[in-house]
Amino acid sequence: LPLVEDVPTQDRVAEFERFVSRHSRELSRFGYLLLGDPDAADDLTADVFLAAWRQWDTVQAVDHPVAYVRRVMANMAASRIRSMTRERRRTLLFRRDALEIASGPDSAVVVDVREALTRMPPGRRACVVLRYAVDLSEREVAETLGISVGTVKSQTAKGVDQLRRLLGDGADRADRPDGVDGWAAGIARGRGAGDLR
Amino acid sequence: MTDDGSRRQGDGWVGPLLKAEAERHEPDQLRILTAVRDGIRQQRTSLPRRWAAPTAAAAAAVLLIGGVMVGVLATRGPAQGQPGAGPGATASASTTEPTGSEAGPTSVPVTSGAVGAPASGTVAVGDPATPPTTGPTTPSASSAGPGGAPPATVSVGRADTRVTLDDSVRDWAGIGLRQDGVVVRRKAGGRLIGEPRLFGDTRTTLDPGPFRVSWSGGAPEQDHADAGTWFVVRPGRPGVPTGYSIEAAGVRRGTLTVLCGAVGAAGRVEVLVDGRTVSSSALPVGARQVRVGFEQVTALVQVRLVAAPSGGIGVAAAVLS
Repeated sequence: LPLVEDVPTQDRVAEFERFVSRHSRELSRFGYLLLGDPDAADDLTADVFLAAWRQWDTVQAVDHPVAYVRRVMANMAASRIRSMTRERRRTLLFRRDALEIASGPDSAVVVDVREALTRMPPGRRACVVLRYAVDLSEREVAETLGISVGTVKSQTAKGVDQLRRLLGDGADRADRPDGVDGWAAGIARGRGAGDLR
Repeated sequence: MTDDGSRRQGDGWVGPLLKAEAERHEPDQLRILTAVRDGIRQQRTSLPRRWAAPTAAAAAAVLLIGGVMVGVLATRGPAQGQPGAGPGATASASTTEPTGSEAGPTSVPVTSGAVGAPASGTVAVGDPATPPTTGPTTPSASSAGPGGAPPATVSVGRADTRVTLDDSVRDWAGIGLRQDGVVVRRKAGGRLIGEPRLFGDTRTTLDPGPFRVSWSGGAPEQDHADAGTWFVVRPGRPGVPTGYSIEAAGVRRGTLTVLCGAVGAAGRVEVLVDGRTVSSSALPVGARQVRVGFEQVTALVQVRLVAAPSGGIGVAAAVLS
């Protein structure tokens, strides 16, 4: 039984910090899609890395350390989302006012996408994001979230349907075979919906 | 893209949509890293609560047993050949002295040319008519810390006074260029250079400086030509190390260049990579460039500009390429 806390060496810290630097962008963007808030995503990313640091020996030993921290992110985000949802109910009116202030040609579209994601249950949202934004296979999504492949399939399908409903005809138009000029492609190029409607 | 056949026809729009949304968020990597570092530091200095009670009990037991042993040994006299080392391990910091090699005119990610005709790309910086200074004013250091710490090359040399900042580099920050004191940042791309920080007991002024800086693609000011001021820091009290710290996070095979100079009396430049001091050298008066080059992924690089007690430090810009 250790009587004294293990004192990490500077080398160990430096190695971990390089791991943080390599993956913080990817992880924070993942968190942003899950949480819908850039500052909260950065904060959560730091928390996730600290959680990884507490288990650094374990993280290093696994085949895919990034997958490990991604799983931690998904779990912590789900917890954070529940508390944010409670808070959001209280401040919904204020938040709507704040969103209307957002400027830029495509801000309305951004709000739509972000809002559509945040209206999904956390588990479904994580399935959709991991599947389509992180490009994981269903099996990898299942392993990351600790659920069955069948659940991933059903939740992903429901999530896509929900996105389609929430985003309206823009998504439908992007489904066309000539969808290169569609709505989603326009977003990918940084254009707003106003350019296409 | 990994696709195991489950994606349904007609959902091809989801991936691009979500990826585009994700890319709208540019994480503040320095903020994340700083929070992580603070968290690690707290963990190292505080014992977890779950260990507190067992540790206290164990410590008491050790003290009790130790007291008994001392009593026993005292009755027997001193033992021979006992090692003197105490318990626990001590981590040692590594400091590498500068090698003193010369840094000539070099390519850095700022452009040089006539004001109003900004050029893009990487060109030589350094006044061709005035070769770099020699001796103690242009030290360089190449350091590899224990355990394979990222090597870094540090040089301090004369700088061209005509500077253009644009999108040809990974990140830049213009310091002291605006009359309101606001730092001008590169608008596009990720923010890898953190907010410059003062340390010590500072007196700050916005003074005319040796650099003439033009920029494009900045925020909050998009374009500007021929800004001639810089941000000067002077010690408020003697004996308190005072100056300016510029940090960059997540650097890989890059170069951080700080356009700066001492005011009144030579100051000092300290460069830390991942928390280790890799270089400490003089910063002469006048227009200088401090260049820190990396070959590997580096979590954090800090350039600390320390003013002389009777002088100051002027800073105009920091550029990461």
